[in-house]
Amino acid sequence: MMKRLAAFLLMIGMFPMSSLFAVAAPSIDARYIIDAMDAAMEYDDAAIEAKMVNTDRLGSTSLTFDTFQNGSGDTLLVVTAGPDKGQKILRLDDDIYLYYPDADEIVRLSGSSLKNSFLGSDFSYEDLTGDDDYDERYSYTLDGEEMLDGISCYKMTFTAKKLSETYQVQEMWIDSERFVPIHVRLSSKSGRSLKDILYSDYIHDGGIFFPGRLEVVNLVKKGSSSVMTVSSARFNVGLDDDLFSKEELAW
Amino acid sequence: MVSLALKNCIRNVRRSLLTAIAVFIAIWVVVVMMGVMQTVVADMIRNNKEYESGDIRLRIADYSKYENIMPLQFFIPSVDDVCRSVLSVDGVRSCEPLSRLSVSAYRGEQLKTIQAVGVDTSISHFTTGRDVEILAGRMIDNGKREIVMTPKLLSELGMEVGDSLTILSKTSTSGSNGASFRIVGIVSYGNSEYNGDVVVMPLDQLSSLTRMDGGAMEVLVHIDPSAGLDATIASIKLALADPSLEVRSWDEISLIAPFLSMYDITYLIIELLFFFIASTLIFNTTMMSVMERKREVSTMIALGFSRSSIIRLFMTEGMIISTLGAVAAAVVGKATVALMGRYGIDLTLFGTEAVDGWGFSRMLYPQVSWSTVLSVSMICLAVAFGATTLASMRVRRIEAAQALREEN
Repeated sequence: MMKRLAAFLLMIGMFPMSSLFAVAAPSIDARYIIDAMDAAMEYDDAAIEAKMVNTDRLGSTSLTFDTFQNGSGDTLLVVTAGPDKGQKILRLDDDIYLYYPDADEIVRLSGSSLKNSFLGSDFSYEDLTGDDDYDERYSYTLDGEEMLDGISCYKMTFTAKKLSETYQVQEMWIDSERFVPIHVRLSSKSGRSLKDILYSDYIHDGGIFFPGRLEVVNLVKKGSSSVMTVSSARFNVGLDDDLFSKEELAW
Repeated sequence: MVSLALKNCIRNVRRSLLTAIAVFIAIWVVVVMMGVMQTVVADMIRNNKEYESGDIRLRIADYSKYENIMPLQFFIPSVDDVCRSVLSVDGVRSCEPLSRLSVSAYRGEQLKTIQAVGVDTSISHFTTGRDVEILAGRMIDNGKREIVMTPKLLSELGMEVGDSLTILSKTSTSGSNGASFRIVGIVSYGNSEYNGDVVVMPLDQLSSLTRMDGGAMEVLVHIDPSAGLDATIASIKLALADPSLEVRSWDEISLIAPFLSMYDITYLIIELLFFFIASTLIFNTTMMSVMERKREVSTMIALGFSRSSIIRLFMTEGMIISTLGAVAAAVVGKATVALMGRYGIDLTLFGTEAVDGWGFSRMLYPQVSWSTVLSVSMICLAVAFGATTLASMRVRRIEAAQALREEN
């Protein structure tokens, strides 16, 4: 089953792969690594509590939120503390819906408005949408093995198949023991590095790995970064599908 | 000599009329043009002060420093305290907290970028200004989540008075927020800059939307005309004693101020152009007069008139005609501008794009002072004097005997 919570938690580089890769290859190659990574992070649904601190050259702000994701990848985020407390974000397929307590209507984002910053972070709403079938969107290669912060990693490069992809090149360093991402660098077609995503403090619960800390560094805006720290992560809890409906958003 | 010159003036009425008309048109055009242009400039300055900057504008200095990224976190938190201190300064007439920023209007699942202006409805020019016209509904009230908007925006959004519009904004805490506002009125502003995609709402509501906690992005200070700008700024800085606040005069921050001196140069160039054209006409008619009256000049020389007295005669003739033209032009020019000032010039007749975004009013009411009319007339007469003098000098070259023979 495809997993999209990773995307919602700003883990753009940690794309959950389709279960099409159910059969592991006998030797270590790119597909084997991705398949193993997908298996290491697979769950049916999840409920996460996290804190996010956004920093730029002018200061920093923080907020906490709860995130819920069902088996279809539908995701609900509720801001529980901070200045934006009460706001909700619902992702249904490629659509993003926003609930503001003082607004009479649910706002559906589309077009260029998806490029707006997501909760003041260095990600846009657009980063949260899109088809998760990365096998169709990217071609990938295994570049070799490298040591990163004392961790032995497989280094992989993903190249977009379409020009419409925001990140044309993604380099990923994957822990060769746990098969979880450690570092992702997102770049443009010209090779300009745009963002670094650093994963650490992995939670290991019932055979599922989940990053306890995630840092996004904006390489274009100097001094701008977002750090998300997970305070609680529960998997396969049997969430009600009604939770992920527009009608329920205003309640 | 004057009576002789007068007689000569009416000897060739058509030529005299031509000279007078040249002077008349030059002065009339310049007077009317100056009336209109000076009014445009005065109007832009007034609009700039009333809508944009006040006489003096207060901001957090870091806001100006990073203005290009709209750093809402640098708002003035305690505007009431700031205004209390500012109002204690001699010469300060009013203190107006205000916020304006780009926001998004959500309509039909589309976001449209518009400008939101948050004002204290009891004192702001946006709500109480004499050039603010309520076309339908009513004006907004402090403390209520309501907006007024321009007819253009209302039409673009396909909405009506009484409808609710959801507005999304960046917040001072780097997040985003949204709220729905009831449209209570349609307004038109004297400043055409604000007749586009603009909504005006109570400052407290915009402050809540952007999470400024009752603060404002800037404070506009209006001072008495008699109060010195620099002295008042110094007093305000002393009263506030807050180095994080930037206190600047309108001409320091205005986009139009650097161009004001260019307007003066433009006036001068146009003025000189018209006077030059008039002077060539005066020169030519005077020269023709001299050439046609060679025999008369020769006879006068034969009768014992000195050449310089004949030159003075021609000059007197020229100046009499020019003065008559100037007086008529001054009176008619002043009357024309007064008429335009009474009924106004609707600039939208030239198309709304001719005025929108330029910061001046859609209706102009030109005015010109008598001193301006007098100075324009005097400059033109000086030019006419020069042209007449140059042309009259031709008398010196006339050979009296030869001229008399040729004429016979």
